[in-house]
Amino acid sequence: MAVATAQTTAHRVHRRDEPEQPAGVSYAGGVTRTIAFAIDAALIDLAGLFVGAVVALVFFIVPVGEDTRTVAVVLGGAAFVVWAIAYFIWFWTTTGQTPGNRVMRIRVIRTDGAPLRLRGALVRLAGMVIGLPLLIGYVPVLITDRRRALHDAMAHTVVIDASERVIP
Amino acid sequence: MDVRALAGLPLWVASEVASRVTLAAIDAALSSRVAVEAVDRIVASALVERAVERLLATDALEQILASAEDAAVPRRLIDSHLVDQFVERLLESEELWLLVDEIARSPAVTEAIGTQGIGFADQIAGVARERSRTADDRLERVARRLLRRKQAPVATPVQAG
Repeated sequence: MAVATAQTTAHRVHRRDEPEQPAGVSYAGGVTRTIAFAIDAALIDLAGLFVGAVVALVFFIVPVGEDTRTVAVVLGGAAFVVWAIAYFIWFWTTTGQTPGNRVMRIRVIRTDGAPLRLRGALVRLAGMVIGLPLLIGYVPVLITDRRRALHDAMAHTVVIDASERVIP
Repeated sequence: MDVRALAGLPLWVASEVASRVTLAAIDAALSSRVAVEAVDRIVASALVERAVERLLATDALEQILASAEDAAVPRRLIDSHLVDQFVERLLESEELWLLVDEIARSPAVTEAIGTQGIGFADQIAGVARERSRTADDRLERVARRLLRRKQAPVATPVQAG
Protein backbone atom coordinates (compact mmCIF):
# COMPACT_ATOMS: atom_id res chain seq x y z
CA MET A 1 0.00 0.00 0.00
CA ALA A 2 2.76 2.39 1.03
CA VAL A 3 4.77 1.43 -2.03
CA ALA A 4 1.81 2.15 -4.28
CA THR A 5 1.26 5.56 -2.67
CA ALA A 6 4.92 6.40 -3.04
CA GLN A 7 4.82 5.36 -6.70
CA THR A 8 1.75 7.55 -7.29
CA THR A 9 3.40 10.51 -5.59
CA ALA A 10 6.57 10.02 -7.57
CA HIS A 11 4.54 9.80 -10.75
CA ARG A 12 2.75 13.04 -9.88
CA VAL A 13 6.01 14.83 -9.13
CA HIS A 14 7.45 13.55 -12.37
CA ARG A 15 4.38 14.79 -14.26
CA ARG A 16 4.65 18.17 -12.59
CA ASP A 17 8.22 18.39 -13.77
CA GLU A 18 8.77 17.79 -17.43
CA PRO A 19 7.08 14.55 -18.37
CA GLU A 20 7.97 12.90 -21.63
CA GLN A 21 5.30 13.05 -24.26
CA PRO A 22 3.89 9.70 -25.35
CA ALA A 23 5.23 7.94 -28.39
CA GLY A 24 3.75 8.93 -31.71
CA VAL A 25 3.55 12.62 -30.89
CA SER A 26 5.38 14.91 -33.23
CA TYR A 27 6.19 18.51 -32.49
CA ALA A 28 5.66 21.53 -34.68
CA GLY A 29 8.85 23.06 -36.02
CA GLY A 30 9.94 26.61 -36.64
CA VAL A 31 8.51 27.06 -40.14
CA THR A 32 5.03 25.75 -39.26
CA ARG A 33 4.92 27.85 -36.11
CA THR A 34 6.07 30.95 -37.96
CA ILE A 35 3.35 30.56 -40.60
CA ALA A 36 0.73 30.03 -37.89
CA PHE A 37 1.97 33.14 -36.09
CA ALA A 38 1.91 35.15 -39.33
CA ILE A 39 -1.74 34.17 -39.88
CA ASP A 40 -2.59 35.21 -36.31
CA ALA A 41 -0.71 38.50 -36.69
CA ALA A 42 -2.57 39.21 -39.93
CA LEU A 43 -5.93 38.54 -38.26
CA ILE A 44 -5.08 40.73 -35.25
CA ASP A 45 -3.89 43.54 -37.53
CA LEU A 46 -6.93 43.27 -39.79
CA ALA A 47 -9.30 43.57 -36.85
CA GLY A 48 -7.25 46.50 -35.48
CA LEU A 49 -7.29 48.22 -38.87
CA PHE A 50 -11.04 47.78 -39.19
CA VAL A 51 -11.74 49.26 -35.76
CA GLY A 52 -9.23 52.05 -36.42
CA ALA A 53 -10.94 52.90 -39.72
CA VAL A 54 -14.35 53.04 -38.02
CA VAL A 55 -13.00 55.33 -35.27
CA ALA A 56 -11.31 57.55 -37.89
CA LEU A 57 -14.62 57.78 -39.74
CA VAL A 58 -16.39 58.84 -36.54
CA PHE A 59 -13.76 61.54 -35.93
CA PHE A 60 -14.15 62.68 -39.52
CA ILE A 61 -17.90 63.11 -39.09
CA VAL A 62 -17.81 64.50 -35.53
CA PRO A 63 -15.09 67.13 -35.22
CA VAL A 64 -13.12 66.91 -31.95
CA GLY A 65 -10.27 68.86 -30.43
CA GLU A 66 -6.58 67.99 -30.75
CA ASP A 67 -6.36 66.84 -27.13
CA THR A 68 -9.29 64.46 -27.52
CA ARG A 69 -7.66 63.08 -30.63
CA THR A 70 -4.39 62.44 -28.78
CA VAL A 71 -6.22 60.70 -25.93
CA ALA A 72 -8.12 58.58 -28.47
CA VAL A 73 -4.86 57.52 -30.15
CA VAL A 74 -3.34 56.51 -26.81
CA LEU A 75 -6.50 54.63 -25.82
CA GLY A 76 -6.62 52.98 -29.24
CA GLY A 77 -3.01 51.80 -28.89
CA ALA A 78 -3.74 50.42 -25.43
CA ALA A 79 -6.89 48.71 -26.72
CA PHE A 80 -4.89 47.13 -29.53
CA VAL A 81 -2.36 45.69 -27.07
CA VAL A 82 -5.17 44.36 -24.87
CA TRP A 83 -6.88 42.87 -27.93
CA ALA A 84 -3.66 41.13 -29.04
CA ILE A 85 -3.05 39.73 -25.55
CA ALA A 86 -6.67 38.62 -25.18
CA TYR A 87 -6.54 36.92 -28.58
CA PHE A 88 -3.67 34.62 -27.67
CA ILE A 89 -4.74 34.04 -24.06
CA TRP A 90 -8.30 33.17 -25.06
CA PHE A 91 -7.38 30.66 -27.74
CA TRP A 92 -4.52 29.05 -25.84
CA THR A 93 -6.61 28.53 -22.71
CA THR A 94 -9.74 27.28 -24.49
CA THR A 95 -8.88 25.06 -27.44
CA GLY A 96 -5.10 25.40 -27.39
CA GLN A 97 -5.33 26.53 -30.98
CA THR A 98 -5.35 30.04 -32.34
CA PRO A 99 -6.91 30.37 -35.81
CA GLY A 100 -3.39 30.29 -37.27
CA ASN A 101 -2.64 27.11 -35.32
CA ARG A 102 -5.89 25.63 -36.55
CA VAL A 103 -4.97 26.29 -40.17
CA MET A 104 -1.55 24.70 -39.63
CA ARG A 105 -3.06 21.91 -37.46
CA ILE A 106 -0.88 22.48 -34.42
CA ARG A 107 -1.87 22.83 -30.76
CA VAL A 108 -0.31 24.31 -27.64
CA ILE A 109 -0.55 22.04 -24.59
CA ARG A 110 1.23 21.74 -21.30
CA THR A 111 4.00 19.18 -21.07
CA ASP A 112 1.70 16.95 -19.01
CA GLY A 113 -0.83 16.99 -21.86
CA ALA A 114 -3.31 19.27 -20.09
CA PRO A 115 -4.63 22.47 -21.64
CA LEU A 116 -2.91 25.72 -20.80
CA ARG A 117 -4.26 27.81 -17.90
CA LEU A 118 -4.46 31.59 -17.62
CA ARG A 119 -1.23 31.99 -15.68
CA GLY A 120 0.70 29.71 -18.01
CA ALA A 121 -0.71 31.52 -21.02
CA LEU A 122 0.37 34.91 -19.63
CA VAL A 123 3.86 33.57 -18.91
CA ARG A 124 4.05 32.09 -22.41
CA LEU A 125 3.04 35.39 -24.00
CA ALA A 126 5.57 37.29 -21.90
CA GLY A 127 8.21 34.77 -22.98
CA MET A 128 7.26 35.31 -26.61
CA VAL A 129 7.83 39.05 -26.26
CA ILE A 130 11.11 38.55 -24.37
CA GLY A 131 12.36 36.16 -27.04
CA LEU A 132 11.53 38.46 -29.93
CA PRO A 133 14.79 40.50 -30.12
CA LEU A 134 16.87 38.78 -32.83
CA LEU A 135 14.40 35.89 -32.47
CA ILE A 136 16.74 34.56 -29.81
CA GLY A 137 13.88 32.87 -27.99
CA TYR A 138 13.01 30.84 -31.06
CA VAL A 139 16.45 29.33 -31.73
CA PRO A 140 15.91 26.44 -29.28
CA VAL A 141 13.05 25.24 -31.52
CA LEU A 142 15.70 24.15 -34.02
CA ILE A 143 17.93 22.27 -31.62
CA THR A 144 15.82 20.86 -28.79
CA ASP A 145 14.30 17.41 -29.07
CA ARG A 146 10.75 18.59 -28.48
CA ARG A 147 11.19 21.73 -30.55
CA ARG A 148 10.52 24.01 -27.62
CA ALA A 149 11.12 27.74 -27.74
CA LEU A 150 12.10 29.91 -24.78
CA HIS A 151 8.47 30.72 -24.00
CA ASP A 152 7.60 26.99 -24.11
CA ALA A 153 10.27 26.30 -21.51
CA MET A 154 9.03 29.20 -19.38
CA ALA A 155 5.39 28.10 -19.48
CA HIS A 156 6.08 24.32 -19.52
CA THR A 157 4.36 23.87 -22.87
CA VAL A 158 4.92 22.08 -26.14
CA VAL A 159 3.45 22.66 -29.58
CA ILE A 160 2.24 19.38 -31.00
CA ASP A 161 1.06 18.31 -34.40
CA ALA A 162 -2.73 18.29 -34.00
CA SER A 163 -3.37 16.29 -37.16
CA GLU A 164 -2.09 13.18 -35.38
CA ARG A 165 -3.64 11.08 -32.66
CA VAL A 166 -1.84 10.94 -29.34
CA ILE A 167 -1.23 7.45 -28.01
CA PRO A 168 -1.87 7.53 -24.26
CA MET B 1 -40.55 36.99 -124.95
CA ASP B 2 -39.67 33.37 -124.94
CA VAL B 3 -42.73 31.24 -125.59
CA ARG B 4 -41.43 28.34 -123.46
CA ALA B 5 -40.96 30.59 -120.47
CA LEU B 6 -44.41 32.07 -120.99
CA ALA B 7 -45.95 28.60 -121.09
CA GLY B 8 -44.18 27.59 -117.88
CA LEU B 9 -45.37 30.69 -115.97
CA PRO B 10 -48.77 29.30 -114.90
CA LEU B 11 -47.08 26.13 -113.75
CA TRP B 12 -44.56 28.08 -111.65
CA VAL B 13 -47.34 30.23 -110.20
CA ALA B 14 -49.39 27.15 -109.36
CA SER B 15 -46.39 25.47 -107.73
CA GLU B 16 -45.58 28.60 -105.70
CA VAL B 17 -49.18 28.98 -104.52
CA ALA B 18 -49.36 25.29 -103.58
CA SER B 19 -46.14 25.53 -101.57
CA ARG B 20 -47.29 28.61 -99.67
CA VAL B 21 -50.70 27.11 -98.95
CA THR B 22 -49.10 23.91 -97.69
CA LEU B 23 -46.70 25.83 -95.40
CA ALA B 24 -49.52 28.02 -94.08
CA ALA B 25 -51.59 24.92 -93.39
CA ILE B 26 -48.68 23.32 -91.53
CA ASP B 27 -48.15 26.51 -89.49
CA ALA B 28 -51.84 26.67 -88.66
CA ALA B 29 -51.91 23.01 -87.69
CA LEU B 30 -48.82 23.32 -85.49
CA SER B 31 -50.10 26.39 -83.70
CA SER B 32 -53.55 24.95 -83.15
CA ARG B 33 -54.72 23.84 -79.71
CA VAL B 34 -55.38 20.36 -81.06
CA ALA B 35 -51.74 19.93 -82.11
CA VAL B 36 -50.46 21.07 -78.71
CA GLU B 37 -52.86 18.73 -76.96
CA ALA B 38 -51.90 15.89 -79.25
CA VAL B 39 -48.22 16.38 -78.45
CA ASP B 40 -48.99 16.53 -74.74
CA ARG B 41 -50.96 13.30 -74.96
CA ILE B 42 -48.22 11.55 -76.91
CA VAL B 43 -45.59 12.61 -74.40
CA ALA B 44 -47.81 11.62 -71.48
CA SER B 45 -48.47 8.21 -73.01
CA ALA B 46 -46.06 5.31 -72.83
CA LEU B 47 -45.40 5.67 -76.53
CA VAL B 48 -42.30 7.83 -76.24
CA GLU B 49 -40.85 5.64 -73.53
CA ARG B 50 -41.51 2.55 -75.61
CA ALA B 51 -39.96 4.19 -78.67
CA VAL B 52 -36.81 5.09 -76.73
CA GLU B 53 -36.64 1.60 -75.29
CA ARG B 54 -36.92 0.08 -78.74
CA LEU B 55 -34.30 2.46 -80.06
CA LEU B 56 -31.91 1.55 -77.28
CA ALA B 57 -32.66 -2.17 -77.56
CA THR B 58 -31.66 -2.26 -81.20
CA ASP B 59 -28.41 -0.91 -82.59
CA ALA B 60 -30.32 1.65 -84.61
CA LEU B 61 -28.93 4.55 -82.63
CA GLU B 62 -25.36 3.36 -83.10
CA GLN B 63 -26.00 2.98 -86.81
CA ILE B 64 -27.40 6.49 -87.07
CA LEU B 65 -24.43 7.89 -85.18
CA ALA B 66 -21.98 5.84 -87.22
CA SER B 67 -23.51 6.97 -90.49
CA ALA B 68 -23.51 10.57 -89.30
CA GLU B 69 -19.86 10.21 -88.40
CA ASP B 70 -19.05 8.58 -91.71
CA ALA B 71 -20.84 11.31 -93.56
CA ALA B 72 -18.81 13.84 -91.61
CA VAL B 73 -22.03 15.61 -90.69
CA PRO B 74 -20.64 17.27 -87.58
CA ARG B 75 -17.66 18.58 -89.49
CA ARG B 76 -19.87 19.97 -92.24
CA LEU B 77 -22.11 21.53 -89.65
CA ILE B 78 -19.16 23.29 -88.07
CA ASP B 79 -17.69 24.29 -91.43
CA SER B 80 -20.97 25.85 -92.49
CA HIS B 81 -20.61 28.52 -89.76
CA LEU B 82 -24.10 27.61 -88.67
CA VAL B 83 -22.85 26.93 -85.18
CA ASP B 84 -21.02 30.26 -85.09
CA GLN B 85 -24.15 32.12 -86.10
CA PHE B 86 -26.19 30.19 -83.58
CA VAL B 87 -23.76 30.98 -80.77
CA GLU B 88 -23.58 34.62 -81.86
CA ARG B 89 -27.35 34.99 -81.75
CA LEU B 90 -27.55 33.12 -78.49
CA LEU B 91 -25.04 35.47 -76.88
CA GLU B 92 -26.95 38.48 -78.17
CA SER B 93 -30.21 37.37 -76.64
CA GLU B 94 -31.15 38.99 -73.34
CA GLU B 95 -33.06 35.92 -72.24
CA LEU B 96 -29.86 33.88 -72.11
CA TRP B 97 -28.20 36.33 -69.72
CA LEU B 98 -31.31 36.49 -67.60
CA LEU B 99 -31.24 32.70 -67.44
CA VAL B 100 -27.53 32.67 -66.57
CA ASP B 101 -28.15 35.30 -63.90
CA GLU B 102 -31.03 33.29 -62.52
CA ILE B 103 -28.95 30.10 -62.39
CA ALA B 104 -25.98 31.90 -60.83
CA ARG B 105 -28.20 33.26 -58.05
CA SER B 106 -29.89 29.96 -57.34
CA PRO B 107 -29.19 28.55 -53.85
CA ALA B 108 -27.96 25.25 -55.25
CA VAL B 109 -25.30 26.95 -57.38
CA THR B 110 -24.16 29.39 -54.67
CA GLU B 111 -23.96 26.49 -52.21
CA ALA B 112 -21.92 24.45 -54.68
CA ILE B 113 -19.58 27.40 -55.29
CA GLY B 114 -19.22 27.89 -51.54
CA THR B 115 -18.41 24.22 -50.99
CA GLN B 116 -15.92 24.25 -53.84
CA GLY B 117 -14.31 27.40 -52.42
CA ILE B 118 -13.93 25.89 -48.97
CA GLY B 119 -12.59 22.69 -50.49
CA PHE B 120 -10.05 24.63 -52.51
CA ALA B 121 -8.94 26.68 -49.49
CA ASP B 122 -8.59 23.49 -47.47
CA GLN B 123 -6.55 21.95 -50.25
CA ILE B 124 -4.22 24.97 -50.34
CA ALA B 125 -3.87 24.85 -46.55
CA GLY B 126 -3.11 21.12 -46.78
CA VAL B 127 -0.30 21.73 -49.25
CA ALA B 128 1.06 24.55 -47.05
CA ARG B 129 0.98 22.26 -44.01
CA GLU B 130 2.77 19.46 -45.81
CA ARG B 131 5.49 21.75 -47.15
CA SER B 132 5.95 23.56 -43.86
CA ARG B 133 6.52 20.26 -42.06
CA THR B 134 9.12 19.23 -44.62
CA ALA B 135 10.75 22.65 -44.21
CA ASP B 136 10.70 22.19 -40.41
CA ASP B 137 12.70 18.98 -40.72
CA ARG B 138 15.16 20.44 -43.21
CA LEU B 139 15.76 23.60 -41.21
CA GLU B 140 16.27 21.58 -38.07
CA ARG B 141 18.77 19.26 -39.78
CA VAL B 142 20.76 22.23 -41.07
CA ALA B 143 20.72 23.99 -37.68
CA ARG B 144 21.84 20.85 -35.88
CA ARG B 145 24.60 20.23 -38.41
CA LEU B 146 25.84 23.81 -38.02
CA LEU B 147 25.81 23.57 -34.25
CA ARG B 148 27.22 20.02 -34.41
CA ARG B 149 24.43 18.54 -32.38
CA LYS B 150 23.10 15.05 -32.85
CA GLN B 151 20.18 14.70 -35.24
CA ALA B 152 16.69 14.61 -33.78
CA PRO B 153 15.04 11.21 -33.33
CA VAL B 154 12.64 10.37 -36.11
CA ALA B 155 9.05 10.65 -34.88
CA THR B 156 6.58 7.97 -35.88
CA PRO B 157 3.37 9.85 -36.31
CA VAL B 158 0.04 8.09 -36.12
CA GLN B 159 -2.54 9.37 -38.54
CA ALA B 160 -5.78 10.53 -37.05
CA GLY B 161 -8.57 8.04 -37.40
